[in-house]
Amino acid sequence: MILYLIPSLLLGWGLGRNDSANIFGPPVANGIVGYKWAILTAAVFVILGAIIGGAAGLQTIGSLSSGTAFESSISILGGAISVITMTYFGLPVSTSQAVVGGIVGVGILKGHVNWFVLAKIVICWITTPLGAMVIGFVIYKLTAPWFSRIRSIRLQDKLITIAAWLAGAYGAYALGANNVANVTGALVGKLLSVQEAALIGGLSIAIGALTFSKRVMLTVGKRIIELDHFSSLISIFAESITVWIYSIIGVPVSTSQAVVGGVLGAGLARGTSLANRGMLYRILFGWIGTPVIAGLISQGLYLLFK
Amino acid sequence: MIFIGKKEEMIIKKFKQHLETVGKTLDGFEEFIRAYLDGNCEEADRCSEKVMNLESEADALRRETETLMYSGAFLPNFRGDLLGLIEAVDRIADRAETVVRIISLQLPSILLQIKEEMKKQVKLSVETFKELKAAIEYMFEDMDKAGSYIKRTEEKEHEEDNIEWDMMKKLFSLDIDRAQKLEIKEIISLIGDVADLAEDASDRVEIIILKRRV
Repeated sequence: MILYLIPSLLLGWGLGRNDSANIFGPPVANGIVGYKWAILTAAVFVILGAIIGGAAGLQTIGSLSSGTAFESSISILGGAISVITMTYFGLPVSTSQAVVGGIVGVGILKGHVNWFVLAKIVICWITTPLGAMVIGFVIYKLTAPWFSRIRSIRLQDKLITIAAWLAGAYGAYALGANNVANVTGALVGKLLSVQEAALIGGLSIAIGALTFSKRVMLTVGKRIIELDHFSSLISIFAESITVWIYSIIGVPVSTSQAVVGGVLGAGLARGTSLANRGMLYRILFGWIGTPVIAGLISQGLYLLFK
Repeated sequence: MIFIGKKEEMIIKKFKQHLETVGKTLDGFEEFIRAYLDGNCEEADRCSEKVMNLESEADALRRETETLMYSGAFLPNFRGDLLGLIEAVDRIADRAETVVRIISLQLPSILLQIKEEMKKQVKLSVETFKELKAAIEYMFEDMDKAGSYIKRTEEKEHEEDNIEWDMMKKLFSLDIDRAQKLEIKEIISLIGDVADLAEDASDRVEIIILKRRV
């Protein structure tokens, strides 16, 4: 059992390290939130999110393929290796898309992929950046007039600080609720119950969040805070709301793509178009390239170990 | 207002103290020029000493405020803006001190024809600073009001510019020694710098406010 869990634990750790940066990156990079407090808050809320809100996603991923615990474990290993390799080569990668690619890769070999569930997942991937963009646009339009009525710099700063903490905690909760399915979802019904999967997956993401590098956080953060404080906060709220909504629907999605959508939405609301061709290619590669590569790797691993 | 935070409160207090001290330095600077132009050497000496002391006091307050700023009050990027602003304000006091030092050292004989204009120029320079001071004081609590004082700072500086230019034209039309012309020209320019620097600082306030616009 422990052996089958190792790929999940590794994947959860990597996911926690990278994806927490999408939530706490901007406030840490611009010094609003201290690094240590950020990782501690992220860890606590990731676990809460996984336990309280992770069930739907865990069930979806668990039902994507009806293989054995061994096959599921290999699928996750394939996903984890793809994430590590693609990150090493600087390619855009999403854990959600890699894991699904891994599961479908092995599922195709064994002939037990649930195509209806896969279609639902892919639709959710496509609507993630679009949804975050719409949410970012709407929140900005609704809150900016109210925020700009605050004419005291002191009050503005205080509100931004409080909102950064709220967005961080909420984002970490949404991350745990949504992405725990990537980590242990494939093992649900084969090796773990939903509750066990939520706890183990949540803990592994939390450990990742606790050990993630400040460098990654600053890199991701600085990319987002090219915007002003207010807009970058709106982007994170949009990302968190989107990811949270998909955790209720039960489909793990990419936080990186959600944050890109949030940034674009806030930018559009401000009247600046931040979209570029490179960004579009990265998102498209995430939808197509990542699952295909992960699927091929997991197929190779399955053939090697079976 | 517990919600606002003690550190912010302290920084604003220090910022205002610094502004007050720079304001007093400029008042001393105006008194010095008036006394000098009226030939009251004793009063001019007393004012000169006052300006030097107040300028040092402003310097010390600036350093204290800068140290406090980095103890975690306000958002970090705003700290950088504030740092730039307090240094810009401090430069105004520095320039006033320079004028006092140069006049005390060179003891130039200011011509009767431009004495009254020079008094007016100094008055306008000090008034430009006073508008800036109000802009900064309002900046923390009411950015709209600060904006209107920025506009007034620009207007005062423009008025000062006009009088400075008139004085220059008058000076160079006089039949006096060229060296004397250049000596007085330098003093007129330095006094004008006080207003210019106040306007530069008001530009910084304007940028701070613009950056806050969502």
